[in-house]
Amino acid sequence: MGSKFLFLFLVCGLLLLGCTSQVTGTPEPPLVPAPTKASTPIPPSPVPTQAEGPTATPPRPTPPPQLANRPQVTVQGQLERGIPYGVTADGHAFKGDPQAPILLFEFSDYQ
Amino acid sequence: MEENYIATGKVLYIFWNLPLSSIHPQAQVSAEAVECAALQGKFWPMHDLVFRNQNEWAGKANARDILLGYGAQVGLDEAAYRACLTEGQTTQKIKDDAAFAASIGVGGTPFFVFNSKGKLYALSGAYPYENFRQALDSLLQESP
Repeated sequence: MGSKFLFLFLVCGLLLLGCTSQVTGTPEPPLVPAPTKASTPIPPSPVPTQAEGPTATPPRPTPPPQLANRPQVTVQGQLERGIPYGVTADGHAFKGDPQAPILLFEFSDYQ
Repeated sequence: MEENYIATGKVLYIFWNLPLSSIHPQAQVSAEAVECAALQGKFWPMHDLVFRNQNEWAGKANARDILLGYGAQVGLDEAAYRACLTEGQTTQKIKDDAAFAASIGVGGTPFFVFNSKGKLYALSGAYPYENFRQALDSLLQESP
């Protein structure tokens, strides 16, 4: 009789343990929808720039002159819509007005 | 963007090469082909052609031969173009671009840097036109 109780007690205990481990096991990551690209604020993050005076944040590296300075350009001709095109002094193809207020650099591959 | 910002004199667009060769096996040779065309003043026609016909050469073992065939389509001196691509005359330029990108922490494409009055802003990834419109309009308000 005592051994039957012991057997039942052990079986119940094992069943309970199994149920508990299913509940308290490592949870699946919550299914949070990724933010859409369209909702991402723009411009999202500044490229490291020169630190502006003493701040609590660590100093940032000097921005690369290749991107921070307006490049010298050689205009080679015009594309459709009369867009000037050519090459910068450091050998990069450009299109647009060399005096345009905004410079837009794209780093890209073709594949 | 070309119509509203480049053609209107608001944006000067400058291209840097960043071939992701580890995941795009033909990225390097395609960049070299476009830069070889650039040596003959045909960067943009070749750039557009290579992008437009990506399905034709990407992932193909004979990508170099296909890219060589584009020379005639954009009016290149084919012998010079072939020599350029075969001899790797633009290989180092592409590597230099990639090294610069790595030095500033750019590891994926496309990656954009906006320069407005010397202030730099980064945008990583392929975004819809609307995002660029918002970014450019806000920057243009700061730089009349």
